[in-house]
Amino acid sequence: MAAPASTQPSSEAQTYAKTPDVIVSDLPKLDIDLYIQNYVGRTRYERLILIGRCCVPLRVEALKAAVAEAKSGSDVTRYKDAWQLLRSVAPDEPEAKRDDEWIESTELANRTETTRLETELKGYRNNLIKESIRMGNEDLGKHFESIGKLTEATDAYNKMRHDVSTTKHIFDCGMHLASVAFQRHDWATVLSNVGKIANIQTGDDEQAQQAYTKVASGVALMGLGNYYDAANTLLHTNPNVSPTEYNTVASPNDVAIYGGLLALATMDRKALQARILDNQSFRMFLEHEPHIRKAISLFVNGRYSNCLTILEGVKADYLLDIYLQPHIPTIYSRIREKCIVQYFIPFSCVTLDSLDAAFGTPNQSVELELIRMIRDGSLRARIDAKSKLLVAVSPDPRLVVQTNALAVARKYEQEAKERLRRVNLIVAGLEVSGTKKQPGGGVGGGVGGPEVEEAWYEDITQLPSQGAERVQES
Amino acid sequence: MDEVKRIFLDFSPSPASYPSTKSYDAAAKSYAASVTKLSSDVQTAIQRNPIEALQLVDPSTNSIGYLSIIDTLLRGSVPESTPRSLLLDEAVRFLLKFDPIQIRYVGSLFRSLLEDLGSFFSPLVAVELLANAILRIDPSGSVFTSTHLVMAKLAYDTNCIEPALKVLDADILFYPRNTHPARPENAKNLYDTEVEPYVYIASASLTDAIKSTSILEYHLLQAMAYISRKDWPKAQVALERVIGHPIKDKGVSKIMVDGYKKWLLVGLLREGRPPSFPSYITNATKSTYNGLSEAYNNIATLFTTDGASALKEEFEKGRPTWEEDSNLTLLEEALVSYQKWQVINLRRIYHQVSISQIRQTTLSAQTAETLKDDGEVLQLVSDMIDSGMLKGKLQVGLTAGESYVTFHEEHDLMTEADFAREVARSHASIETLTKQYRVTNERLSSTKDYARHLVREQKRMDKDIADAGVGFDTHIEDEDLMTGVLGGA
Repeated sequence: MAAPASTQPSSEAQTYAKTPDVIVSDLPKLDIDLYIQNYVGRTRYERLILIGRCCVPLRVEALKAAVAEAKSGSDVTRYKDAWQLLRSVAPDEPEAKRDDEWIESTELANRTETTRLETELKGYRNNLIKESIRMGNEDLGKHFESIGKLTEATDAYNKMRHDVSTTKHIFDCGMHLASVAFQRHDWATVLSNVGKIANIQTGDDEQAQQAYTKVASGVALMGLGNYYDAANTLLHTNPNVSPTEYNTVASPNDVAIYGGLLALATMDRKALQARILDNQSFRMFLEHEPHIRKAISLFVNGRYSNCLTILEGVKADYLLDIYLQPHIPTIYSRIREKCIVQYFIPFSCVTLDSLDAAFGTPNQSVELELIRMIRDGSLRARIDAKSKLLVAVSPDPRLVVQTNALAVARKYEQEAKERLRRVNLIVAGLEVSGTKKQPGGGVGGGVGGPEVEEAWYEDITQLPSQGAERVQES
Repeated sequence: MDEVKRIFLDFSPSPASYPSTKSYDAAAKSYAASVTKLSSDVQTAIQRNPIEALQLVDPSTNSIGYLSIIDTLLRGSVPESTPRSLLLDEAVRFLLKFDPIQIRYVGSLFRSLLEDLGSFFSPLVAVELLANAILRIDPSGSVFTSTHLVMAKLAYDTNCIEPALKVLDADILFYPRNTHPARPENAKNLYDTEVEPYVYIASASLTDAIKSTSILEYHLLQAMAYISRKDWPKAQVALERVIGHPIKDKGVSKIMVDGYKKWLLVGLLREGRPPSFPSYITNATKSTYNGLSEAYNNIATLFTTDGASALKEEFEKGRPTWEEDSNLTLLEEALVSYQKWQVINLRRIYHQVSISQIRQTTLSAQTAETLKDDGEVLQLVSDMIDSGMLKGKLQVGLTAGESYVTFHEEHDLMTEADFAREVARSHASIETLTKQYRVTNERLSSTKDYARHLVREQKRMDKDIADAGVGFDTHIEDEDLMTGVLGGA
């Protein structure tokens, strides 16, 4: 999980010290202005910062936008972070000059606002008006969230829950909590909060809310690495709902990318055809992202290397997505494995050279990858290192039947014998007795006691009857 | 000597010369009693004229008398003129030919002769004779006797396992009940040829009293014998009998823990991975075993991983433990087999693989490195194929890169006829087992304990019915339900 909040000064220092895990040096296709206008709320800044940190060609532009974004809000920490990053990248830009005046005035305003809201809330509490208390908490939570104090925001939002009176309130409360959890990348909390509001019936805007819960839980499931469920959830998003309902989390483009990629990584060709390409509602999302649709239909049509090429082409863009970034290597390698497996299905053997031609990179053979796949069971084949072939495993059904039948018979025989032996052992009173073995042997005195004798009867009488049953079954 | 003749010829060994089996039984009993309690005069007379005494009766038809004579001669002093080897030869002749039914009348004498065989003969002969005698007494070899343990000990201690195998291989299913020490003169049905071995062995006192430890020890020795022959599957079965011995009061004896440790290692050698517990072992016992043999469990877990260096380290770390448990050689054997199992597991990945590839991908657990040159790998693989551990074919080329191993299927395809035969064999053996189950069931139904249990059940039933009559149960329902809940809490 990411650092809980950007409020702590220590994490501030870490922010620039830490080099990002992913560096994208290819020029992505995205346009920052167009991209960022799909979103509202605090996710904008997060997305801009991510691009600024990871993408070499776009970083100045992104960081400048991030500084502007931070300044339009009231989160001083965010401004400082963005400014620091920008200064290290492009010290000559006008935005790289630290605006201390703004910092001071914003900090002062934030403090005043916090005090004001807290006093107000105290007043509501004294008056015991439930609705006012709830609204007071909500306002305070929103304020804390906007200035980046996420822990305090969670506390305030949680307090809202005590005073909810309508289902709409419950929904708001859950949404606020989920939103904070998103910023902390705490997927489990997102899921639990979204889960709480998923089945609320609110009447009018039910569809809109459903779209939000689907998108939010889909993203959270992906964050947890639960790709199949995530794909399933995202596929059920209603495309007719305005994106404004969920654009604090993701845009319709993102829904198409996440859903499409995850489905490609987890579903088979039949399911892809039926649930993605023939799915009218998800089609509307896919129209935003023709690459994904193209890749899926190429995969379904068996043109695996073309599919992989397309995906490779847009990889840079996907790596700049805040939620997708950590999962791209896994998702891509799964898709690749699936392609290899699917490619191989119609053949009984394939030369390693042709596999290299289809999937290999110029200086690396797919052989190592094949070995790994065979080892963990995703590819049912053997490598013939002599003739450079990949040979399909086709077990002889007769051999399988014979081996299984004999194994079962042998096992049954052995177990029947063993049970008979045990019955006779117990009848002859030859069990190992624990009490006798204990050093000191003081406990052995109770042998004649009634309990021991009870147990003894049980033992003898149960086992033979079991044995007899087993025999009758045969 | 006339007295000797009078005593020994006072019995016609052929059952046909008696009007009924009952009278034969009675005659045999009184004859057995008289020949086993010889006066010292008679004993001296036999010892003075060994040759003449031995010619008095025939060992195969009158085994009762012959046993007494040979026993007196072997244990007493005989004149110099009769070589001891002659007596021993006669004893061998007797032990190979004795009448298994007559011997039941002199069970305890025969048993003591068997127990001392080790001191009369060389171990190899003694083990062979013991195994023969055990199987003559009980051709199925399915009843455990104290002689089994004597033989196993002798065979293992003197490393004469070969002749003992026919007894060791037999499945032991029955155990004589030694609740009342048998006296041959009171025993019934000694003559009955139809009676089951576990009945006559106990009543003819052909076995000494048996304790659970003797059974455990026997199976452990049996396993050790198989281990020394590197027969892992059989060793594993024997060890499973040790670790799965029925337990009262959750206790696990030391032999069982020792057995568990060996069982784990043998499992690694046999399957290349840690064995799984038989179904009849309870969870409590499993955790006891696991708790008591942590070092072994670590080895077993590492065995299936690529971590050859970790395995080696663990082995070195636990050296005192292995030495203390005298499992060092077994562990060394396991370490040697580590690489072999890695090679075997390549079967899952390759259809054909070159020797140099094997060298690069497998590690030896003894050095935690790959083998130094391809020649060693070639040697290793061809040894494995020769020993039948690896099913495959080796094609030796000019260089290691051109030498390939082709892996074959783990099991060979049988012809339909072979398969049918194998199934029929299984079927027959299960049929036999069914019969034995039925017999056991009947036998158990007639035990005192079962009868007592039945009586108790009956009483309980009566009580239940009485209760129902009063309506106690229904009464409760009408009352405040909370009382029951509170009482229970």
